[in-house]
Amino acid sequence: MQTVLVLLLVALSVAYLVRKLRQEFSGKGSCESCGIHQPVTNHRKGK
Amino acid sequence: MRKIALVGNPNSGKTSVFNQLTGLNQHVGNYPGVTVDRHAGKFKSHKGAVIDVIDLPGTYSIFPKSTDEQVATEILVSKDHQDHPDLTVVVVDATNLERNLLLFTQIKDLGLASILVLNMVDLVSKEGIKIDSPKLSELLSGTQVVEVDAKNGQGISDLKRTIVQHSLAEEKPFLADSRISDNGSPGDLSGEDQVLDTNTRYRKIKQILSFCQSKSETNQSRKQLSRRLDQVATHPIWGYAIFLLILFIIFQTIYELASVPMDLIDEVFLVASQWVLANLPPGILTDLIAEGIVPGIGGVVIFIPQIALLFAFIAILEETGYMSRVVFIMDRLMRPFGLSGKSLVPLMSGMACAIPAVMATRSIDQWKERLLTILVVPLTSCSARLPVYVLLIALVVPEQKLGWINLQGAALLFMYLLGIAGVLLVSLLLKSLIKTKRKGFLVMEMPTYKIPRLQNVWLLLYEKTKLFVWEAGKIILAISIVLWVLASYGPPGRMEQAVSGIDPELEDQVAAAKLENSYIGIMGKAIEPTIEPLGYDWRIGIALITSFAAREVFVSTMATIYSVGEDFEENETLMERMRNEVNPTTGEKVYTLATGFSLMVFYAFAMQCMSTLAVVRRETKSWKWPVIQFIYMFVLAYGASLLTYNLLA
Repeated sequence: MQTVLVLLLVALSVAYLVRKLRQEFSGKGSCESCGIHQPVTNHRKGK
Repeated sequence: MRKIALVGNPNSGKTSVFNQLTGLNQHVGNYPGVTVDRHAGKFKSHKGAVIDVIDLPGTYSIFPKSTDEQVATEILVSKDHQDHPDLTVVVVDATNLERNLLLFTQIKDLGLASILVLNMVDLVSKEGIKIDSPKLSELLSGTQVVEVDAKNGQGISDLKRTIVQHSLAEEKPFLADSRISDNGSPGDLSGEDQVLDTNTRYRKIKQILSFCQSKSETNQSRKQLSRRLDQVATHPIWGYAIFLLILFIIFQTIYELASVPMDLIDEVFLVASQWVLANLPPGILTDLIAEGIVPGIGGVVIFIPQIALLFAFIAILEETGYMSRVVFIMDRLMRPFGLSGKSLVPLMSGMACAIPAVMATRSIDQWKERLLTILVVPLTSCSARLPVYVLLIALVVPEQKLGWINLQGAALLFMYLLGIAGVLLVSLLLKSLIKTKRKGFLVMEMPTYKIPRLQNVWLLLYEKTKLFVWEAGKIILAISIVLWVLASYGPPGRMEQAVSGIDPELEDQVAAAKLENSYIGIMGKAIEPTIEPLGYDWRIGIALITSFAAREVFVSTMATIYSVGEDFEENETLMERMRNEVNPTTGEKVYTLATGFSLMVFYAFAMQCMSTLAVVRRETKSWKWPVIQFIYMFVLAYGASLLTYNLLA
């Protein structure tokens, strides 16, 4: 059971890191320390 | 459908007015060909008519000096432009009418239908200023004037009504013989004509304001006091001495105040790991939580007191108005090194984070000058370096006082000054490679000194700290989990083979051998020969690899590495475990003064921030400059660390 949970956590972490990496270079990333976003293009604010 | 454009000086509160008018009905895009954001939205009148609103980039005048100003001017001047408005709503900072009205008078002379919005009226009375709006409207030949406090939404319904009911009739010209009205593009006017036109406008604006604006004596005396203080704060010698003294006091105080909560947090996370191991059923999930997640998160949480204190001090300096004086004196210091006044604001904001700093370089109109600034901005010490510095200083600088000087505080100040020195030296070098034709001048307004409002300081401190914990926390958690797995497992049979010759009683040696033969250990070992001359071992090598994502990951990586295989029974906190770490081949401590400073110097100069690389690529529209920046910063970091290690070893 613990092994399954660890595998799940690892898969989620890797998926999150890959998503973060893709965001960074598509111009929608943000600084990890301060959360400041890069300028965004064609995305709706507040929706 | 009626189309309106919001126009105004930067910091006039134009965007607050835009947000109040449109609410959530807004979207952000880009103007074609340039990296200037296009903010558009809409609102409905009480009769159901839809009004299109465009928030134009902030501009001081219609004689454009930057890309942002160029975009705004083009929209206002060119009737064929798709965003050319039927009505311009000029937002001005009511506490500084004289400067803000210049743009309004120019727009009036373009013949555009306009409304004048006096924003920040709440501050007007606080500063002892009185404005007679009906009189102002009369003196501006009937332009409709609306008073608002956009922050609190006051006056917004009046503004909406005025926009909907406006006749869209052209404005009467402000100057009878304006050079703007009979010329197609104001930017084409010669420099001399622009100056003449501006001076004539200011004269007339002053005259008009003398009839409809009065300032109290308190306001005048506050200004006088500010001027007197400025004679010292901006003095060519005393100005720098005071700035250094303030920095010194800040870093000393940070160390004095933060040590107690930091030790407490370190203890709490040690107890948490012990509790997890003692109370959860044994297994790999328990090990992951105790050795990976808890120490990983703890490694960052421990620095919250120091980061929060630094943010608080920065907020106080901004609130008092002293930060503007710092920008002013630094301008004088940086000019001989090839950096112009306009580079200064990005460089100062780089102390917090390089991303907004790189974006702030858009105000620099000359491309080469902008590029030079982008290339050096990441050398200023951003907040992500703080945890790295604090951890290493705690390890290698004794917790002692020399007289009344806290040595650790002095070391932290040194690292910040090193960042500034790096900016100056690299600029000097790049100046000869990237030749700029002319330099922009820094024109800035000195706000009067104020007593900081505690509520504002607290809000800024809370927001920044929350963001740090939340944004950095997510990535640190993910990396800690992956790292723990890579540090706990290795290629089949390799770890077992490595520990086969060691007495199982010697738990520390067994754990070290396992880690060395784990996947991450193999990676660290692979780069060890490259980093050995800098005084680093393979464990530090692992942290160097993971922190290429972001600098603060260094700390959580070290925390995880020094926790894998740990039974936490010896009650050693992370700091103590690292401090006691011994190199098995030399028998000496791993973290010596030479290694610690060499590592800090590496972090001061290396480009270990993916987000910054991404934003540089976006701003320069090519991979060339981020790649050059990455390489030059790596070479600089390697060279400087090598030098530091050899000098101190």
